[in-house]
Order: sequence, then structure tokens, then C-alpha cells
Amino acid sequence: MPRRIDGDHKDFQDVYGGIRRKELKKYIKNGSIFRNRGKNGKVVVTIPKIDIPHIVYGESDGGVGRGQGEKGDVIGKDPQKGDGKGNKAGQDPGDGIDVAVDLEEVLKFMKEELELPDMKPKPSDTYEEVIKKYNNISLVGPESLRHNGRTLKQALKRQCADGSINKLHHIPGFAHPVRLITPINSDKRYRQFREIKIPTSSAVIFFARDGSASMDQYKCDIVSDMSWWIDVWIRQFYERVERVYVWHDTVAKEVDEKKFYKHRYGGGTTCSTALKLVSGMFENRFDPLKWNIYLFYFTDGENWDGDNEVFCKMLEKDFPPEVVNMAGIAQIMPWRYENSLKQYVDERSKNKNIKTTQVGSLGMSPTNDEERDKSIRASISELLGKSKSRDSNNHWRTSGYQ
Amino acid sequence: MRQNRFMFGSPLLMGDSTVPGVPMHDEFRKLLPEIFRKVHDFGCDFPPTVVEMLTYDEISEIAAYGGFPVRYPHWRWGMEYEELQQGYMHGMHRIYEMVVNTDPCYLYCLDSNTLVDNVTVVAHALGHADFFKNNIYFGQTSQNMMNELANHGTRIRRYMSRWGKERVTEFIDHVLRIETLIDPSKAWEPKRYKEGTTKDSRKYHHPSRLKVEDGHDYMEEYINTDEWIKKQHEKIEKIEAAEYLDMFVGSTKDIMGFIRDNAPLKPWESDIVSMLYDESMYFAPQRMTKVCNEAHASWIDYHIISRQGLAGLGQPDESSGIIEYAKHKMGVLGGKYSMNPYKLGFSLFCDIEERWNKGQFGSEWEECADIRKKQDWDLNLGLGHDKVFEVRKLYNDLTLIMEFFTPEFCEKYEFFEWKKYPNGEYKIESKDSERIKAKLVARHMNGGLPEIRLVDPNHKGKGILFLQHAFSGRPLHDAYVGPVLESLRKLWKNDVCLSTRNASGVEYIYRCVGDDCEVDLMTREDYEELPK
Repeated sequence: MPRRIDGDHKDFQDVYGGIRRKELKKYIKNGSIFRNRGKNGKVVVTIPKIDIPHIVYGESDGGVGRGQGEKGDVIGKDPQKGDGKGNKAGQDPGDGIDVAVDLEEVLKFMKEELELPDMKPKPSDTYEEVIKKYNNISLVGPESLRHNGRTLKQALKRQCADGSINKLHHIPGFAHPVRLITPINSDKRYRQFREIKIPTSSAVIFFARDGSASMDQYKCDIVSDMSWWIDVWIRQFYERVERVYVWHDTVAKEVDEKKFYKHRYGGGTTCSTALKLVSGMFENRFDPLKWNIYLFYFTDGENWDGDNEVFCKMLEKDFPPEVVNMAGIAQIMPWRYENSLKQYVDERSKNKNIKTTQVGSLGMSPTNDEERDKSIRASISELLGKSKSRDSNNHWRTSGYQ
Repeated sequence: MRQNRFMFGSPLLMGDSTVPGVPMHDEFRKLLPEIFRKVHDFGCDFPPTVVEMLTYDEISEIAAYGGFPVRYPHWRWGMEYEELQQGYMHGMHRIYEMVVNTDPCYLYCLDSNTLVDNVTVVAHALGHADFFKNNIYFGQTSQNMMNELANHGTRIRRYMSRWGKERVTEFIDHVLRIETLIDPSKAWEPKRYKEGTTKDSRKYHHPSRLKVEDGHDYMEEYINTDEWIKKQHEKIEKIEAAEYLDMFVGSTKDIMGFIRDNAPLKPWESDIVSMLYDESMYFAPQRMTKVCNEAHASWIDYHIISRQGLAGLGQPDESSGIIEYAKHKMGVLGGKYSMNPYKLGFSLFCDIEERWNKGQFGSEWEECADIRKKQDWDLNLGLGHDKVFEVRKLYNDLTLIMEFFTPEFCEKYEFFEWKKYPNGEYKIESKDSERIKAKLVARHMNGGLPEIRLVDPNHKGKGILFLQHAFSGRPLHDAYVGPVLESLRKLWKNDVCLSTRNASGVEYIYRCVGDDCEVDLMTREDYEELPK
């Protein structure tokens, strides 16, 4: 017997689902989702507590309790925001509750909200697997593969066309004369296979960053937030994804994830060294024929004099669309646009697979978290979104500077 | 008789008002008459009772419906259910029992309770049943609510199939937001039924005619000329308009009732408002007597189980259940530093019993200044039991605290007043009994809700509903005021204002205007300066 509560419970879940969807969209829209890291495939978002509002008193900062103690004794402490994890417990009416949302769902909304296209494996001749699937029809073939339904249908069509269908046949065992469909050889249809070629489904993502002193912890955190979400986004399109982290000053080296996100600095800055290291790996580790390759390079725009030229040339030569699915260059809060790495890349590189973006405005860190979230959101949709003509983008950025 | 229920007295059972339940353990069933007899002998007077054994799933279903599994379909019950289920799953809380204020009284036990727990629960629940039946604040509640709510459910379902579920649910959502804006004391006013056709019940004014002498009928149209009659009609119109405007005198807390009677609602809408109004009125006394009710039930089970030796019921030894009982009680009454309302009430009842047993009351006691003498005061009157039963009959939370929260009580049970500091610390502010009492009284004033009064339904002569919050130091919860006003605006179909004050006492006005129900907030001065 269905219980009475089931209907109401379902209604509630509909209400809840609607509110959750709305909140999630809001989170993605204002970018605060990017500050959030998923855990075990879930992302925690705060949604307003669902309640029927009544006119009630607000939170009071005093009350009555009981127990031992003298005047001035501390009897409790709120968990402070900022130290440790977790928000304040939801005592205040109308406070939000934290819910875990599947990462897949978040990505689905991200796709809608930021209009991100699917990542496509680059066209290549190597296939992981070729499978045969019988989903085609042919006129010739072995009798064992005859498609009876289609054969009879064909016979019916033919007989209808030439009128022979109207002929009545006397069949022993039938009380009345009946119509007959009789396939002839030309009616016969056979099942036929098609080859389905599955392209390689492995990808490698190179995260590279400039390790100069000007890339402080604040910028590193932005790098970390962005690359985490980029990683998650790309990972959903490939079966096997590897990540390589490259850090450089005047020399580039491969580091592990932890070191990559940690603020530490070396001497000068030669951006091209990173590209050299990455392209060196194509030969023996990540054969471009077998791997889908993504490169994301984070910088603050400062580079050694003359190296920008080298950088652009290398980008042009070693990272063409045939080799690299996408190369994204994110310039985080540069001091100026002129002579920055992004400007060079914007002007010199004509390859379609190269995308550039600028996080934050020139020279200063975003004033608050909201600004930061918004600029990260904008950059992610610029990097992963549909390619727009880059020139139009540049226009407002430079004019904004003047 | 069904295997899963036990009936005491001869309850008249109602049709489809219960859930399947599970068979009752024999050992528990055997104990029930004994518990009933003990509780009855102790002085409780409860209606015929049906005891049912349920699984947690079923009891949380019933609890989600507020005890009545027959109510109208709405997602709020699903929300309650979800909360109870989640809380149980994560081990945060569980329901031990559920009692419903009806005649016969339904008492639901949980099958996963231990035997001692269930014995306790029955004694406790009978305390509730006794309270429902005898407390004067429940005097006006219908004892046949199971059926009435079932009828409401049927009617609302019918509206849903006629007008669409979404539309009706949306309307109910709006009405539920104002369900607390009622005046429980209206229950004692004689019910006035809105006459079916207001036109006929209105006092008619007839144009006065000048007298025409007999036999001179032909003079009629010359004496009472059309012009004269027209003048008379105009006069009457003015009088009637004045009477119409005069319909509202003074102020009222009963905003929901006012909406029901006066808002321009469609018949089905008006029916839903009046049903939900009745439900709200039915549940209002429970809000006002939460502390008393729990206190009385706790006090009863404490007496029955630990004093009258029922702890050993169904146990190998007479006292072997007492530890378990104590543990159960700890769970209900515990909590360091927290202001557990159950414990406040229970302590008050125990204190009352002790004081009246020892004769610590009356003018002689109050005028006594000698502390030592007061400490040893014991007249051996033994009036405690009767006094507690009197309290359960005549008091609600507010009056209970006002009358019995004495400085001695405050000191004995270590009450204090705390304050939250900006750094997130809670500190003990004082142990002054007067201030603590004032805080407790303020908390239970008006059932713990802000007092909102309708002061003018025709504000500025434009039919604007003007509400006034009787400010008592605590500001309203800002985030909820807007949605409530929005709903009121939708029901009243004209603008709504609410005047309140912020923490520093500055008067503010929430205003909900226009068909898109925008809520804005302004100071009183700004409001007065608004263009007409």
C-alpha cells in the first residue's frame, strides 16, 4: 500500500530539487563555485533552508541557561569563520544548509551556464579499437544474415506496386482464400556490419606556471582553483587523463602537484623554457598521435626581454592544432598589457587552438572575493568556451588600461 | 481486536485514521493495564486511549503530519518527514512517542524502544493525554479533530482536482505563512458565522417620505418629488459608506481571521483560509503550553516509574529498570548550560510539589525574612500532589513562569543569563533572578512569537492593511518579514505595511506594494514623506 507520506515527500523533493537547481546555477553564475573543491566526487554548496516563513524574532545575542558558573565565565564559543572548516551551525532561522552535489551535476550546469562546448578528441589516424556492429542493411549477403522483416516489407511494397497482392490464394487448411506475400530474390535484404572506430581516449594536461617572485600565494591560489576545475572539466571527456605539472624560473622542471601550487620562487623568468620542457615530452612520453594534449600556462605576464618572441615562435612551431588540442594562456593580474606575454601571443600567434585570457584587472588584486570569483569565472569560460575572435577581446582590455 | 493495538476504555474508533503498525509484544501488552491503572490511580483523568505500536518509519510519518495522518497533501509534511528521517539516520534525535489531542486519544509507541522505555513512554504519554483533557487552554479545541482534518483533506483534494494541484498548493503556501498571525483567545468568543448573503443582513436605510394625507394620493409625486428622493438616496449612501468604514474598531491580533472574513477571495480560496485558520487555532494551545505540557508528563512518568516502583515492571527485579529509566530521563532533560525547556518545566513542577508539601507558600512564607527559618520551613502539609494537578489545569507557560519562578528557585537550579560577544564567545552575564525571569517571560509571551496587530485595514483611506509590531526589545527576523508580507499582499490584494523597530529602537516600516509585491524598508519619517 502506498503510504500517504510518499506523495508529500515527493512534492517536497521537487520543491527542494527546484531550489537546489536555482542555487547551483547562481553559484556557477557568480563564480563562487570555483572556490569550492569537490571531495569524493561531490561538491558542497550552501542552499537556503527550505522553510515556511513566519513572522518570528531575529537571532538574539543573549538568553538564559543553567549550570554552574560565575559572572564572566565563558560557557561556549561559536566556531569562527575562517579557522577550520565549516560554517556556523544553522541555528539562525533562514540560514543555509550545506548539501553535497554530484560533480557531474555541477559540470552539467556549468556547461549550460557558461556555454562550454564539449571537448573533442583531435582527428587522428590511430584508433584505440575498431568494433563491428550490425546496424546496416545490404542487398547481398549470406542467407544466415537475412533480415526477414525487411525482406517481407520489401516484398509487400513490390506486390502492392504491381497489384499482385490482391490475388487470392486457396491454401489448404484455411477456410477462406487469403492474400500472400512471396519474396523473390530481389526482395531479400541482409544484415550488414559497420566498423566503428573509437578514437584514442587518453589525454594529458600540462599545467605550467611561471615561478617568478611576482607570482605570490594569492595568484597561486587562483592558479590552483582554475586548474582544478579545468582538470575536472577535461577529465569528463576522456577515459584516461594524465597530468604533468611544470614550474619554471630560468629553467623549467617537472614538479608534483603539491609543489606546483605552493608559492616559491626562483631567479629570473624565461617562459619559453616551460614550452621546451613540454614539447620535449612529446617525443618519448606523450606521442601526439596517441594522446590528446592540453596545455595551460599561467603567468603574470612578465618575461625576460626577448623571450616573448621565442615563446611565440615555439608556440607556433611546436604546438600546432595537429599536435595540441588546446593551449590556454592565463595571465593573472599583470602589471600592464603592453609587452606582456599575452599581448605577444595575441598578436603573433594565429593558431586556432591557442586561447588567452586575463584574470583580474591590471596590476591589482580583486578587492573582494566576489570580484575574484567573477574574474575566474570569466577566464574559465574564455579558456574553455567557444572560441571567439580574440581581437575583439583585446580591444576592451587595452582600452580599460588607458 | 487487532494484534497491534491496545485499547483502554471503550474508544469509538475512527475509520482510516491510522497506519498499519506492527504487532505488539505480548510482554508489553500484558503490562499495559497495570500502567493505565497506576496512572489513573495517581489522579490522572485521560480519555479512552488507543495504544499502537509502530516502526520508526511509521511514527515519523505520523509525526510529520503533526499526529494526524489524514491531512491535506502538502510538501511541508514531506519536509518534516525528511528531517525526522535524516535526524534518525544520523543518530541526532529520535521520537519516542506521539500523542494526539483527540477523543479517543491515540498513543503511538516505537517498536524499537526497550521495554522500560515503552513503559515510561506510556506513562509519559498518559500525562499528556491528561493535560490535553484538563488544561483550560485546550478547553475549546475540538476533540474530534481526526475527522475534521480528514474532511479538510478531502475538501482540499477536491479543490486540487478542480483547480489544479499547483495552483492550490501555491495558495496554501501563502496562507501558511500567516498561520501564526492569529489570536488564540478568539476561541472563547462565541462563534459568529458569516451570513450567507451579506446584502440581506445589512441594515437597510430607506429614504424617508413626506406624508401625504389620505385621499390625496394624487399629490404624491408633487410632495415626494424625484429630486427629493434622489437627495435622500445620496444621504443614505454616505451613511452606509460611513458604516462600512466603521466596521473595524480598535486593533486585533487575529489577522488571519480578518483576512478570512474580509479579503476579496474566491469561494474555494476563502474555504481554504477558513480551514487552515481552524487548524491553526487547534494547534495554538499546544504552542502556548509546551513547557507545562512536557513538565506535567515528565512529572507523571517520574512519579509512576521511580516513586511508585513501576521501574521493575516486566523486569527480573523490582528496581532493575531504574538505571535505564534514569538514562532515558537524562537524554530528555540533559544538556550542559543549555536552556532545556523540558527541564525548566520539570524542575518547576518538582519545586511546586516540594513547596506545597512543606507549606512554603502564602503570605506568612513570603513575609518571613529569616533565611535559616525559611530553609528549614516544613509544615508537612502534603498538598504538593493536588497543587501540581491544579497547576496543570489552570496555567500556561507564561503564567507558570510568572507565578512560580521565584528567586529561590532560580538560585537552586543555577540559572544564569548569558550574552554573546562579538568574538563569538558566550559569557555568563548575570545571575540576577529578576532579569532572568524577565527574559523567560519575554520568551514565552504570545507563545514565543512577536505580537503583530492589525491597527488599520483602511490606512490612508486606500484600503492599505497596516500592521503594527508591539515592540518589546527584540527585532524581527528580517529575512522572513518580506515573504510573509508578500503573501498577505497576495491574499488581501492591496498594499500591506508593517511597522516595527530595529535593535536600537528606530521605527521602520516594511511596505509591500504593487501587484509584483515588492517589499521595501524605510524609516517612519521617510514613510510619512512619501507622495500621496
